Amino acid sequence: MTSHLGDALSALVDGHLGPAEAASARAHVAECSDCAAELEAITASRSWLRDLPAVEPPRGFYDRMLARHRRRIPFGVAAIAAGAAASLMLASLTTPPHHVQPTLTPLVQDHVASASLVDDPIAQMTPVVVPSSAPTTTVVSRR
Amino acid sequence: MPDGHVPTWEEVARDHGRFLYTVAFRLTGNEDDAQDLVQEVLLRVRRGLVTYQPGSMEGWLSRITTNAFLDEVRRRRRRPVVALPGDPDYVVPPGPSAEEALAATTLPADVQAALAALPDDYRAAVVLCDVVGLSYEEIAATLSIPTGTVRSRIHRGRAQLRKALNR
Repeated sequence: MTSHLGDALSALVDGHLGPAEAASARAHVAECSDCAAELEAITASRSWLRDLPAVEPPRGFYDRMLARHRRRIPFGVAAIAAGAAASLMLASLTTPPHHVQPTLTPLVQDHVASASLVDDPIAQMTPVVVPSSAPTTTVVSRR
Repeated sequence: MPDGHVPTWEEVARDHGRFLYTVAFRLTGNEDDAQDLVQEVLLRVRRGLVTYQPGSMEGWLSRITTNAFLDEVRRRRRRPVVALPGDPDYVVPPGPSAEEALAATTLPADVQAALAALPDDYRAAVVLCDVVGLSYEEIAATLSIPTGTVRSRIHRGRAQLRKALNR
C-alpha cells in the first residue's frame, strides 16, 4: 500500500485531478479504509458547505449605507481637515493668538494645493515670471 | 453586464447585494463584521482601488471581499486583542462537550459555526471553493498562493469542519 492520498482526495471530488491520477486515486480508495473514511468525511463537509443558504442583508442595509457615504466628503480630505481643525483648536486653547500662525501653515498649504487660480482675476494680473535682481543660476559656458 | 463596463457601487449593491453579503457573512461569521466588510468592499469599488476585470462579476467581487477580509485579519493580528493560534499563550479552544456533540446536527447554523472556527486562511480557501464556486486556479490567483497550497488548505479546512461537526 502506497502512502495515503491526503489533499488529493479534495482534488478528486473537485475534479482537479487528471484522468490517470483520478483513476489511480479511486483504485487506492477502494483498497484503503483510511482514505475511504477521509473521502467520506470531506465529501460530507463539501456538501454541507455547498448547501449553505444565501444570507439576506438586513432590510434597507444597502440604501442606508449608500446614502450615508454619498453625503460624506472623501476620506483623505476629511482626515486632513479634521487633523488641521484639531490642531487649530488645540493651539487656540493653549497659545496666545500670535502663535497660531505656524499651525495654520498646513491649512494654507492644503488650500493652495486644491485651489484653482484660473478664475481669480488677481492671480491673472500677477506676472508669471518675476525678474530677479540677481541671477540664481550660473551659466556654464560650453567648451 | 457588458464586458469592459466598470460597475458602480450602486450597481453592485443592487444586482449583487445578496451574494456580496453572503460571502462577507461566511468569511467573518457574524453580522457586524459582515456589514463592515461589505462597506469596505463597496468603498474599494467606489474609489476605483480595484481594477475591474471583465468576466464573472461574482468572481471579481469575491476577490475584493476576500482580500479586504484578509487585510482586516492581518491588521488585527498586528494588534491582537486575544491570543491567536501561533502565539505562545494561545490556548486551544475546548471542543464540544459530549452532550453538545450528541445534540449536534448539520443545520446551516452548525455548519456556519464550524466554518467560523476554522483558521482564517483555511476559511478563505474553503469559502471561495465551496460557497463561491471558484476553481483552484482562481483561488490561487485571488490569494496569491500556489495551487498546491490552495488544495491543501481546502482539504484541511473540510477535514477540520467534518471533525467539528462529527457526532
